[in-house]
Amino acid sequence: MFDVVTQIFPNMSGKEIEFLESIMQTLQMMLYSSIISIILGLAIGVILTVTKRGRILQNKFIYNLFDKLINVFRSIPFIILIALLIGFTRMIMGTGFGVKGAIIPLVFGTIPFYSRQVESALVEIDDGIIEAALASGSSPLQIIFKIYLSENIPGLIRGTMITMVSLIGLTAMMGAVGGGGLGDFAIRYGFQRRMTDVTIVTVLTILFLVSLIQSIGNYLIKKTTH
Amino acid sequence: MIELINVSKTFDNQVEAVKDVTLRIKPKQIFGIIGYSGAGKSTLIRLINLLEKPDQGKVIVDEVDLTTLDQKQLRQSRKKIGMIFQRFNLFRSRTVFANVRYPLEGSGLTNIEINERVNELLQLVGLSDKADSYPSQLSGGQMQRVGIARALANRPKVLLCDEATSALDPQTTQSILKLLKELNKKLDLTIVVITHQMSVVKDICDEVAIMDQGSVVEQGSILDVFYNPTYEITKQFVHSADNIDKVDEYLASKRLELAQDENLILLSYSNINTQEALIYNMIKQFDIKVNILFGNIELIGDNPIGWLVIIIGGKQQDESLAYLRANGVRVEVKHYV
Ligand SMILES: Nc1ncnc2c1ncn2[C@@H]1O[C@H](COP(=O)(O)OP(=O)(O)O)[C@@H](O)[C@H]1O
Ligand SMILES: [Mg+2]
Repeated sequence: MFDVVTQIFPNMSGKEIEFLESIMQTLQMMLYSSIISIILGLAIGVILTVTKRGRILQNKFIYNLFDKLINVFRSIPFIILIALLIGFTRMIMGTGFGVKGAIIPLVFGTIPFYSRQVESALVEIDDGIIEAALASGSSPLQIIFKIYLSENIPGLIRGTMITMVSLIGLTAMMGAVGGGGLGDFAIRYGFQRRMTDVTIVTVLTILFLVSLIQSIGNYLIKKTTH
Repeated sequence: MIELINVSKTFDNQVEAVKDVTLRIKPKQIFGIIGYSGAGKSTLIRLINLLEKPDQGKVIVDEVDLTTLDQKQLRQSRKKIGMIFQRFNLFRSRTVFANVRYPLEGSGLTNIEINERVNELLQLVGLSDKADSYPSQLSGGQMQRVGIARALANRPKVLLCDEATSALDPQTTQSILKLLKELNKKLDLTIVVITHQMSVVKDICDEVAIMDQGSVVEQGSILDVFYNPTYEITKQFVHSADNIDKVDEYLASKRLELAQDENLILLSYSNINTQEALIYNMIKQFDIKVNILFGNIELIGDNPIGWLVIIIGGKQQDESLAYLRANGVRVEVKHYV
């Protein structure tokens, strides 16, 4: 397979291993940071939803706290967020470089965005449905798991899909500051050594990743829409 | 079964949705609460299962004051108070079967017992063949039947219906009302029906309360309220169902030419005298002429009440009208210029 690739994109020859490693690094960054972000983002999205005025666990303080925090983090450009977090990252992960050093900035960059995606998926659930569950004697916890997190699965998948795609963008940016992965690969060869064909291969790979995520997402949405 | 005692609810310190309402609903009754949109009906019915917390007053259901319960006890009590809604509020992601199963999950029953109960409920509302359908595949009437089955899952003693037929066409409304009436008899269920449609109250309720701007202005047996409406708003509702207002309008617009000694009379009567041939007797007994213009008989529950518009002429008018009055007919002389 690489024979064909190196024929069309000559500068790729000799970089096969490095290229595969970059893909692996990107996938690792994606995997770890999306798992953490999805869990925490779902939790924060639910908190935002249920503590809002008039909802089942209405709580002005908690709602405002999360709401403001999200707004603050969302307004910081990602590249600056990385710089801001470097001390914290080193403290937790022991390093600011590579896949390990990338996870924390990626998670901080993703959670605020994903929480809002979750929140907007949960808002679509009709208040009447919550009311029906309350009237039947459900507890807040039952309503969170059996209604909020179950009634709009397609909406949650859509939000997850959008977040994963934007996460690919963030992992590429991590490359610029020593995070490794496809972004790093493209910058080192495509940008710094002007090997445009290497950049094109990277772009195609990322394009493939994005459409893979979208196809899986669309398939799952179709499966879960009734 | 249900007692509301001096219950009030104000939203945002300004909207007085329910003002000092006292209601007593007897067991096994179908109790109607009627009022225009914004009258506070939904708030009132939500006070019964404490979905809305009263600012003051007591809410007693099945001898327990719900306002004194903690959250856990309240949830337990709510299982014994079913509720159905105008927009059905079914769980979209669940099949019909799973919708009805919802209130039973985690109730301590085994899976087999739960499945049995769900099948029983689906049969009760006539939807056994739709068990695996999703709500989006059902008609409005079918969705409301699912709502009813779900509301009855835990064998409640009370069923609250908030405009349960307002989103349905007249025919489907009839079939849902019929089902509610059957359930009322079969399960000894106390049913509270909120509506803005007098026809709903007329068809199934035993007693009715009329709500206006947060207050209950009138209540009583459906026959009393229909036959002797006191408040203007009650009269409006009563007439919305018997279209007597339209007759008034019609007569007024037509400018009937009455002869010198003729009068236009509106007679109304309830079940006390529909058996007797009063009009016939009257014509035989007195020297009068009677021309019947319009008439109507309504069934309120099982009781007929009716009205008749007549033109009466001849010498013994006063005597004949007195005769009718003596037999319990209400007589109103109408003047149109
Ligand atoms: N949650 C709420 N917050 C503020 N105002 C409300 C709320 N619910 C109802 N109201 C107000 O209370 C009044 C009565 O409403 P409602 O009980 O829904 O009347 P109905 O069901 O008879 O149409 C209306 O003026 C409505 O705007
Ligand atoms: Mg209402």
